[in-house]
Amino acid sequence: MIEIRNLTKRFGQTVAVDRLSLTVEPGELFVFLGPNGAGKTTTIKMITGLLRPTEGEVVLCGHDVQTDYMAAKSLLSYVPDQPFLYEKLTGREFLHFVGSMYGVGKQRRRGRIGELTERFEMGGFLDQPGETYSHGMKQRLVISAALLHEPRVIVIDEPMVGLDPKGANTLKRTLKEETERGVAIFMSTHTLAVAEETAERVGIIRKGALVALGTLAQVYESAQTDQRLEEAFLRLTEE
Amino acid sequence: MRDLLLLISVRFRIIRHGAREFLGSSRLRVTVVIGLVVFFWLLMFAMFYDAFRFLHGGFLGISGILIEYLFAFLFVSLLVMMAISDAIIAYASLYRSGETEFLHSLPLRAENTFAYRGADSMVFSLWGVGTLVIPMVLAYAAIFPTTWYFLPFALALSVLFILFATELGAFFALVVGLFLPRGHRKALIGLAVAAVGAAVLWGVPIGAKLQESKFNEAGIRYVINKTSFCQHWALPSHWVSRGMLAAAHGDLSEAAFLTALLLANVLFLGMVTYRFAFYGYRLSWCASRGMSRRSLRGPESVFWKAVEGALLPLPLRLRQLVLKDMKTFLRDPSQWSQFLLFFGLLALYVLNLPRFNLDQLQPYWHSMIALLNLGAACLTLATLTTRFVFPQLSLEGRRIWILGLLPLERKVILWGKFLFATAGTFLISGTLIALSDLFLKLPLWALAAHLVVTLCVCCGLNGLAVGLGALYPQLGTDNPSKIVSSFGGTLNLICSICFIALAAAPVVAPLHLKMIGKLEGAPFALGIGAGLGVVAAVAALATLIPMLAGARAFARMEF
Repeated sequence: MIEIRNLTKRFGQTVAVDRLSLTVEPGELFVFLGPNGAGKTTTIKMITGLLRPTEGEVVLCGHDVQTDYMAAKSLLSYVPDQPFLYEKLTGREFLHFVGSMYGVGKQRRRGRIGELTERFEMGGFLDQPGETYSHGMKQRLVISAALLHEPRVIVIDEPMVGLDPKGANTLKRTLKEETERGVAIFMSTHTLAVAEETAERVGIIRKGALVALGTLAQVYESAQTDQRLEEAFLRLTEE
Repeated sequence: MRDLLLLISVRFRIIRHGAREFLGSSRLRVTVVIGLVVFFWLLMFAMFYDAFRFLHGGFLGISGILIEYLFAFLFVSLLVMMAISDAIIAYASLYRSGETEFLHSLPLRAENTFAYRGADSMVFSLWGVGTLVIPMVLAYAAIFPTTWYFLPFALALSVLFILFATELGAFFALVVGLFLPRGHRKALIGLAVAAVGAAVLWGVPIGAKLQESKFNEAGIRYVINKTSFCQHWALPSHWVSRGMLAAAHGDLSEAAFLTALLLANVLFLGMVTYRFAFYGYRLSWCASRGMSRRSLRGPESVFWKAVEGALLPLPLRLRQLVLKDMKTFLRDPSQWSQFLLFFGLLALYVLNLPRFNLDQLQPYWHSMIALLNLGAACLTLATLTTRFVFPQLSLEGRRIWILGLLPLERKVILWGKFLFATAGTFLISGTLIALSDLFLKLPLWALAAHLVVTLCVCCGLNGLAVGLGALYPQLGTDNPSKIVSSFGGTLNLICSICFIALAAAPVVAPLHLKMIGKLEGAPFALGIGAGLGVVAAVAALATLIPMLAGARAFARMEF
C-alpha cells in the first residue's frame, strides 16, 4: 500500500509538487499521468526515497520512506525510465546480485530467475554482458530484477518504452498478475492506450498539483468528455 | 556488513570481466598499454636510481639530511595530491554517478553505499603509489644498504598511506556535499584557485633563491628550512617517510611504532568518516538531487554572439558546426578543466622562465631549453588531441544521425571539427612557444621557425585525431575515457608520437647548430629550408591521409 500525504517539493522558488495526497491500495494498479515537467518523476523519486520532500510524507506498507527507509525499501521495487545496468556483468549475474541485495536465498533466486527468464524470453542473451543489450533487452532485464524478490509495492516509470509488442503484452499480463497477488503498483506513462487498458485508477498531475483522480469513468466525467482518455487528458492539462 | 561484502564481490567480478576483455582485445593495444606502463615504471626507477647514486657519493656531506628531506617532501606532496584527487573522484562517485542512484534504490544502508562508492578513488591512489613510491623504494634498496624488513615495512606503510588518503578524500567529499550545495561551490573553486596561487607565490622565490645559490650547501639548507613543515611530527606523510627510513637503518622499534601509529589513525579516520556518513550521506545525496537548473541567457549569450561574430568569415553551416563544438566543449567542466590543467602547468613553467638566471647560461642551453619546451608542448598536444579531439565524433553517439542528415556534405563536418581543433590548439600552444622563446631571448628567426613547426604539428595531430576518430568511431558509449582507450584511440596516440618524432627531427639539428654558432650562412639557410619543407610535407601527409580516409568512412557510415 502506498500512502502519499500532503507531499510537496520545492526547488528554490519553483514548486515541483504541490500538496499531493493519494493512496494506492494493495492489489491496485494506479496510473500517474501528466505533461512533461508536470512533476511525475519528482513524485516518483519521493515515493522511492531518492528525493526528500520539502513537506509531507510517503508511507509504504506502514513504513515511512524517510524515517524507516530500510524497511520501506525492502518492500519496494523501482524501475526508472533510464535504468542502470552494470555493463560488465551478464544479465544473470545482475539478477543474482539484485536478488542477494534483497536477501533472496540462492535456491529461490535460481528458481525465480528461471521463471522470469522464460516469461520475458531472456534466455538468448542472459549470459551476455549488459553492454551488448538493446534498450528493449535492458528493459526486460530490469523489470525482471524488480520482480525477483516479490515486492509488495512496485513503482515503474515509462515501462513500455523500448519493448516490442510481445514484450509489452507480457509486461501488462505480469503487472495484472502482480496486482492479483496483492501488490500495489504505481505506474507513470505517456502511453495513454496502456493506461486505458491497465489502470484501475488514474491520477493526472499538472504543474505539480493533481487535477483529476479516480477511475477512468470518473476522470472522463470530470473532464466532461466521452470515453477517450486522450481527450480528457488534453482538456485537463491545457493551459 | 553482508551487503558491503556483496558489493565488493560484484566489483571484483566486474574487474575480472574487464581484465579478461582487455587481454582478449587487440594484441597491439595490449602490447602498447603494457609496454608503456613498463617503460614509465622503468623510467621512474632509473631516475630515482640515478638520484640516489648521486646522493650516495656524499653530495656536499649532507646526503643523509637530503634523503630524509626528499622522502618527507615526496610523501607530503603525495598526501596533498592524493587527498585532493581522491576528494574529487569520491565526490563524482558519491553524488553524480548513475550507479549510486541505483544503489540508493536498493535496501542498502546509505553508509555502506558511501563506503563502497567512496573507495573508488583508492584505485587511482594505488596507481600513483605504484608508479612513484615503489620504484623509489626499490631504487633506494638497490643503492643503500638496508635491512631485510625494509621492503615489507615500505609495502605496509604504502598501503596504509593509500587508505589514509582515500579516507581523507571521502571525508572532504562528504563535507562538500553536506555543507556546500552546488550554488555555493563557486566560493570553493575560488578558494582552491587562491590556494594554488598562494602556493605558487610562496614557492617561486624559494626556487629562485636556490637557482641563485647555484645549488650550494647554503642554498639547499635555506630550501630545507623554508619547507621544514613537511617533516612535522604530526603529519601522517612524515610517519611514512620516517618509518621507511627507520626500517632501512635497522631501527625496528621506531619503524614498528610509526606503522602502528599510522594504522591507528587509518582506523580512527575510517570510523569517524563512516559515522559521519551514517548521519549525513543520505541527507546530502538527496539534497544534491534537488538543484535548480541554471539559465544560459544573459552574459553567456552575449559572449557567444561575440564568438559568432568572430567566426563570420566561415560559411554559415560550418560556422554553426564550429560554434556547437565550442559550446559543447566549454559547457563541460570535465573537458575544459583537464585541458586547463595540462596547459596551465606548462604555462606556469613558461611564465616563470624570466625568474631564472637565464642570462648566465650559454647559448647551447638557451637552444636546448627552447627545443625541450617545443618538445614538451608537442607531446602535451599529442596527449590532448588523443584525449579531446579523437573522441569528438564518437561523442555524438546516438545523436550522430543529426549530423548525418544535415543538408551538407559529411566531409565538411569533419573539416569543421579539424578547423576548430587546429585553431584552438595552435592559439594556445603557439602563444606558449612564442612566450618561451621571447623569455629565452631567442632571435626572431628561431621564434618564427618554432611557430611554423608548432603550426605543422597542430595540423598533423588534429588531422590524425579527427581522421582516425571517424575511421574508428565508438558510438555506443558516452564515456570519453572508454573511447580513448579503444583500439582507434591507442593507434592515434602511437601515430601522434611517431609523427612528432618525424616532424620535429628535420629542424632540430639546423636550429641547434645555428644557435651554438656551428652552422651559418647558406648551409644554414639550406638546412632550415629543407627541414621546414620536410616538416610541412610530413604534416600535410599526416593531415590529409587520415582526414581523407576518415571522410570516406564517415560518408559511408550507416546510423
